[in-house]
Amino acid sequence: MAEEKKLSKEAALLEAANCLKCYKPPCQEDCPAGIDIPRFIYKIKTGDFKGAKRVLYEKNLFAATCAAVCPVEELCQENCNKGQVSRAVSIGQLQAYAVEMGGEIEFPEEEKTKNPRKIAVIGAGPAGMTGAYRLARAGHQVDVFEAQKGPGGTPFWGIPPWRLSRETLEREIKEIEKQLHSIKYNTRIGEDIQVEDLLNEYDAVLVSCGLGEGSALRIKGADLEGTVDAVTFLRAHNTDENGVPSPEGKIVLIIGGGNTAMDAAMAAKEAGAERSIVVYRRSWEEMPAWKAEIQKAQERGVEFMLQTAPVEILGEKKLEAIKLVPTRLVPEEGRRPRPVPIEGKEFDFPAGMVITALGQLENPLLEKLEGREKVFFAGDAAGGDATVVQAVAEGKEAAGKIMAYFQEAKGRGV
Amino acid sequence: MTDLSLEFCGIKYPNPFVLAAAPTTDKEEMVARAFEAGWGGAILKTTSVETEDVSLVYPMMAGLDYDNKRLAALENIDLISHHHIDVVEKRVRNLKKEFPDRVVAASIMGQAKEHWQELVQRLEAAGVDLIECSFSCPHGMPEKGMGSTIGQNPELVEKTARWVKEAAKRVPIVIKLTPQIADITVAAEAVKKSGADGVCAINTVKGILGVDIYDFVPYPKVRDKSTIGGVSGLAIKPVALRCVAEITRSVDIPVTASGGITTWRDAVEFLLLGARNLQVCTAAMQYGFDLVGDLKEGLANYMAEMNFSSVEQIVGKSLPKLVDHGTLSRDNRVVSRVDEDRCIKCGRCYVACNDGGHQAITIGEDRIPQIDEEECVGCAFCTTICPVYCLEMERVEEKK
Repeated sequence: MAEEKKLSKEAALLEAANCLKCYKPPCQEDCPAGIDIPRFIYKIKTGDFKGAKRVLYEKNLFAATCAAVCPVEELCQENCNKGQVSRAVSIGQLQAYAVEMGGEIEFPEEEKTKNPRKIAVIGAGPAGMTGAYRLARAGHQVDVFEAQKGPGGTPFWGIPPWRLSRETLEREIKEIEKQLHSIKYNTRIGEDIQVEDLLNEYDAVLVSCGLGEGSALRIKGADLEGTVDAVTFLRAHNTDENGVPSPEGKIVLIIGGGNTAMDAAMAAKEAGAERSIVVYRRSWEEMPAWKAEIQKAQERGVEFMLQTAPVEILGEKKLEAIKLVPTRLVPEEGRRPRPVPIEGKEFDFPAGMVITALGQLENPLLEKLEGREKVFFAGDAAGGDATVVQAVAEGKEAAGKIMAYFQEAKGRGV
Repeated sequence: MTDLSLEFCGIKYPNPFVLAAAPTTDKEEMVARAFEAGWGGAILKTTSVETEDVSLVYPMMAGLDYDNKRLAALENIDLISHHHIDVVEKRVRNLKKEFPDRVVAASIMGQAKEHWQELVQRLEAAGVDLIECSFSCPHGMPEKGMGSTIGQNPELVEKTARWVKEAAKRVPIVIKLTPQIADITVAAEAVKKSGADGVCAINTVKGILGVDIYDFVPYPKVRDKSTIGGVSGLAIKPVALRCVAEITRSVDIPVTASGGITTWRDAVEFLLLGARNLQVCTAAMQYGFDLVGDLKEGLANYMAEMNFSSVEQIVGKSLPKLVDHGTLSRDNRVVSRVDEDRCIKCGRCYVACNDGGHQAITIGEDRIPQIDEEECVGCAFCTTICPVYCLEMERVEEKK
């Protein structure tokens, strides 16, 4: 965890000694990237940090990024057998330690295909870059197209720098870039390059373009100045882009209860908001954000108004306040309870800024590419669960599928 | 308070826990603090006649880590005390005066008959309660014909022990033995023949703690060189237990045990195998003199639990249970059993049995190990590695 205290050598060795080195380890089974966790931890224990780092990167090219942002409590650490005896091994911290201490690692050259193909990858996030790397290492010619001005995808634009250092991410991307034929920024497929041209030019296309814009809040006054969606807000906050009002000195309300809401709330606080308050329609129990994220937000002074829904944003030209209403939860068969506003209990709450974190829309590019021959999907664009490690896993899987597709096409004499 | 007293070589110790001759007993002030903490006795660090040159080197210690835990074993290349008999005899007088109820013993080493005898006479005159003779230091001293050079030669053991015993008018003489000998009972027998009163088993085990793999110098490093040293601590406990048992079951001589005693459980084990007195060094250095409180309380609670009314009742109780291999039952059919409620499903036993045993354990979807009784020979290796102690060997009726 980037913001947690880094382990000292002594602490890392002690922590590594806690690993039981299980057979068919649940941690590995729960890691989307399939990292051989007991093996890298064992290597730390014996002081072979380079070996430990190699084990990590063998399965995950974003091992350092993931060490900073992986929801380990939800993944590898959740079913750690040691947890039944005392507490789960701190896998995330050990991973951060290994990537920091492992120095330079090299992988042996892979056998190159005798039949190199041309592949276009849309989006330079973890899914696309992982897939691109695998394909390039196998000897294919890979061109990556990225709509933004630089690589990294959601981890770069969406994760605050105090959670994930840009150097960490850039270092990992640089290693991948070395393998590529080309990478083009500020290039939107469907605008700068037409979809049909792309399909004609390439033997396969890996679509890893992520999600589209944030969902809008559909209440009266939502168009008033001072309301912004979380994706836009975070992108501005994380890259110092202009065009988004500053939360400094303001009471900021964040509408939503997911991890993006937590990030936005913490970012607002970080940027000097007087108060940063998450407004969520349901209760703690239903909140989709990970517990560790909620806890981090609380530690950073973020406040929570639960079972509260927005009714209307008030103001002349700029927002001045927000009308909220308490809700009661009505049980629903087989799904989360439905929040129902309690009529007559509406109240106005002063607000200088409202950030909406209501999920993201599908990327409009998908419509044009879905169901097409030689097109493959990975990452959030494929409906992933929005973690870096899941994107890595999907990128790897998609690369495998593309190579299998080439084999099959070869069999057909194409 | 439970009576923990135990007689050894005719001396009644208020409790059997004694600080071994070591750095812990090389200052009067330290021994006084140890007595205040409750140790039954102390053996002042091995001393010598004034003419003996004691040239120490530093660093003199190195520890063995296991699983990133410190000090599974300790190696030292320390020598006898650089304080000679003139200092030690004063300490004996002072300590005896201040702590008349504790056993103040001294350890000695000499190069010649006259040295040994002079040391004994001066210590007796100072009022010492018991004298231990080191025939066993495995490093430094042997190069000068002392220490384990004597202990490894039964004739020298008997001859030297006789000199010492001859010189002693009043106090019992204990000979500290080295485990670096093919059969330690031969050395113990030689002590018995000499007329000396008891033996101490064991001194450190000769060893090399490790090597710095980056500059190739073994540990402990004295500049760019090292030397073979003596290993102590928990790791040598099995060797010490074996040596104690070998002596107590075949030689009629009282034994004071030394070698890896760290907890009250270790202490009980040594008593059960016939030791009548328990020396602690490494653990006391590691955890401090307060350790004795825990040793005493643990022993007292064990005695209450087991209905022992005196420590004496524990001594040697396991000896009838220790027989030659050929005497062991050949129709003891046991198989490994898993307590499924306690199992944490780590699968360690599966790997251990598969690669270290007999492929008798399988792991299914539920990850709970299943024991194939046909394949399980009953070796018990799985029980030694289970992190939650959920595997046990169970006796089964017929021999398959």
